[in-house]
Amino acid sequence: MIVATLKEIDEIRKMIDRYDSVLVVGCDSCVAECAAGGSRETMLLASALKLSYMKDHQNPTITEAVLDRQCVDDFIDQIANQVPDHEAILSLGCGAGVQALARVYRDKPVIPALNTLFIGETQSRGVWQENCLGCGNCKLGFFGAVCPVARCSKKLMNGPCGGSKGGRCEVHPEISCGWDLIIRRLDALGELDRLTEYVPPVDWSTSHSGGPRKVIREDQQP
Amino acid sequence: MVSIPCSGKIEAHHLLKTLAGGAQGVLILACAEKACQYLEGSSRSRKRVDYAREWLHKVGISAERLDFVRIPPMDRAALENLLREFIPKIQSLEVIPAIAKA
Ligand code: SF4
Ligand code: SF4
Repeated sequence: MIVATLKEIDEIRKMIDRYDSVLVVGCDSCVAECAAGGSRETMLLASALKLSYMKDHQNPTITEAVLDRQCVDDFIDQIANQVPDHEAILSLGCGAGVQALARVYRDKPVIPALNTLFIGETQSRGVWQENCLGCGNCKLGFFGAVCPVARCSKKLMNGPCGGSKGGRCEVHPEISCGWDLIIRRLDALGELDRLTEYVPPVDWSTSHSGGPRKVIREDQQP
Repeated sequence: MVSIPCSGKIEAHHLLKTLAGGAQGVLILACAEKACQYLEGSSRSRKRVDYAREWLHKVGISAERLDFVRIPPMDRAALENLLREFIPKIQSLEVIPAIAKA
């Protein structure tokens, strides 16, 4: 899933203070799972904004709405009747959700309420871990399903740097050494031989470094 | 008075929405940590009230408007004492101006 965090309210207010009416739109998919932009956080942010304006004796209209998914037109259409009554949209979707709303509601300013961070997993309650950089050429099969691109601080593809201590990364001791995880897992699976295969340096042209990417599937098109 | 099965069900968005809806303060009554029938409810609710307080601080509203107290269930005398302290405390704070539109 996409992991994000809520922006500070001061930053959001600087962007929306110019409007008299704002539709606050959450997304109940990835950003709900990471407790940044789902129904609860939409209610939290809308209420916090109201309180913040009330304290300043200002009175903008702040309305809450939540979409099951903010990056798919079929869902985005569900707020079509609310959008015209508001001067702007404040989106609690990831960057893709914000841009999808802006594409559909062309005449409305759409302001992001989140900082979109990474592709990751819920490791335990309240802990989200980055584990994929979307490199476009997945090599997890070689590495016991632990990604060296996302989880080794130096993105090493052919073994650890040698600085790992007690299973922690020498660059960021607060994270596990990706290579420690790879070797322990392959060892437990009896597949350490995977590491004898040569993995060429990452070809970054399939990643975002090769420019914005697009997937087109004719069989999925109308 | 809003009854809920366990204080652990309370989250920051409920508390902020209540204040944004016109309440001047919310007193959250929870069971003692070790008495929680759901094991972790009472310790969770404490953290969530603290989180809601952080939000009040961010928007410049006194965090005293949210109070969290652990009292034994059905202890009327303790509840009356708490309310005797809480209500004047909230009344002494500047009123949060009402919002006209929803
Ligand atoms: S190898 Fe690439 S696609 Fe696979 S998990 Fe790592 S970053 Fe993601
Ligand atoms: S300690 Fe491990 S994760 Fe950190 S840079 Fe070295 S090999 Fe990569």
